[in-house]
Amino acid sequence: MIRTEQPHSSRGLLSFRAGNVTGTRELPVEFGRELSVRDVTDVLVDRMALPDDVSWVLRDDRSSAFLDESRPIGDQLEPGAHVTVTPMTHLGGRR
Amino acid sequence: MTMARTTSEAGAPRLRSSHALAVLLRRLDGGPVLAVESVTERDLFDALAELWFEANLRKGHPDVAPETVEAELTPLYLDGWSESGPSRNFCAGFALSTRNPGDETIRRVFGRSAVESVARRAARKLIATGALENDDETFYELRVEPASEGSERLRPSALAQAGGAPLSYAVLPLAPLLERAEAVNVDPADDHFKVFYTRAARERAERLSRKGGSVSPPVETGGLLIGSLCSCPDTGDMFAVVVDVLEATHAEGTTYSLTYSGETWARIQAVMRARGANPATKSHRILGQCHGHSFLPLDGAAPCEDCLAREVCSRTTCFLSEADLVWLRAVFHGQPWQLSHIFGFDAQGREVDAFFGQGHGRLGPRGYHLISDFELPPIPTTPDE
Repeated sequence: MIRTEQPHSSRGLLSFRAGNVTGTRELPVEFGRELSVRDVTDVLVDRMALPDDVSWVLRDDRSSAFLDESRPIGDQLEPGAHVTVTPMTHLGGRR
Repeated sequence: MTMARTTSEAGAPRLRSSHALAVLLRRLDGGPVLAVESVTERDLFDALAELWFEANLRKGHPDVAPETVEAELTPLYLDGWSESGPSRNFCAGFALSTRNPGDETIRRVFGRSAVESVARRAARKLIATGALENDDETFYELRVEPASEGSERLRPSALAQAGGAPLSYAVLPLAPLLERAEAVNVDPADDHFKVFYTRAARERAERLSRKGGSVSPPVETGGLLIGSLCSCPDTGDMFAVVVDVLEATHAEGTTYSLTYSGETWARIQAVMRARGANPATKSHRILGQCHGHSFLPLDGAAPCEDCLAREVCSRTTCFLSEADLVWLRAVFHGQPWQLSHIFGFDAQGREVDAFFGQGHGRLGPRGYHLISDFELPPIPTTPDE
């Protein structure tokens, strides 16, 4: 369990599950609600040992929407949600 | 005999090393070193996962979890060079070794290309600062340095807990499948794990990948290869069977790119969840991807003068681009069974294709075995599922 509680947060913690796109990694996590999605993403990428030279975003599996990385995680996710750490990169044909 | 078992995956073996590795980047035309980029244990994740797969899952020990594996790194010095020589510290690659539960020591050799992503990272940093142009050509060397105690470069247990989900696999004899399979571009000398591909899945992969070539201008289309990992009870080897292809719907395709959207992944994950809950498809997993390069090589430049005399035209669009490699490394990180199938054209405009898999830390061409059909008997779910 990852605890990244902000000591001065008055809004508590948010628990949810996070996985990668192929479903080979799955983590129960808990973050301070005030943390930005960007910070949460960085922690999850590190925790899942995903490549850190790729841009990653969090996708709420219920809505399929990508979370706004500049806003707090607590404003965008419900407790018990599941997010997918998704690479923002593409397949391509140019060498 | 068929059954499903699970073990954990996606962690990585613990790495022991008295050395640290670093990539040195130079311009192609020589000159001083532009950048020194440390090779971290995370950079070696795919190589470590491959060692786990080769030393355990392919040696009759499919239940060994990656995080329980102890691996040791040994630099491979260039010919005539050594740790104590005048040109010390430069190496051609490295070896990873481990001992499996059968008390076998398995050693796996990796070339410099296994850390090419580190060189790309160094180049991107230089481009971001303006020290390097996008078009500048560079090359890289691999340097070995003694690792001090507590080195940040290789962190022995940093990857031990990466949230590995259970690895589902079927238990199935390999020989009967081989007897009825047609080998396609299989080199008997290579040491790749066996991959079987149903004819229906192969045809669907080609149809979906070439779909975007029928519009004007052409766009890239494709999908994900779905199937099972299987452990042979007779040989202990592990192999893969591709049985289906999930189309990448709601993806954004251009002539030279294919971007999976949130909706693309949502649909894929919904399908995979449904399959995981069905006893007949419980062992299905995403094994790889396919897509089309629906354009002519070199922007349609005329074939070589002797092209018609050649049996095989080597100028094709069936390659993994740099963007492909970045995407594959992100999506299939730590999954050494990953596969890619690219459908394109040769210089004469003929349809050709190439199949790729991981070996010795890099993705390269490999073969597969075609089978007419494949069906695993339904696997009962346990009461707590």
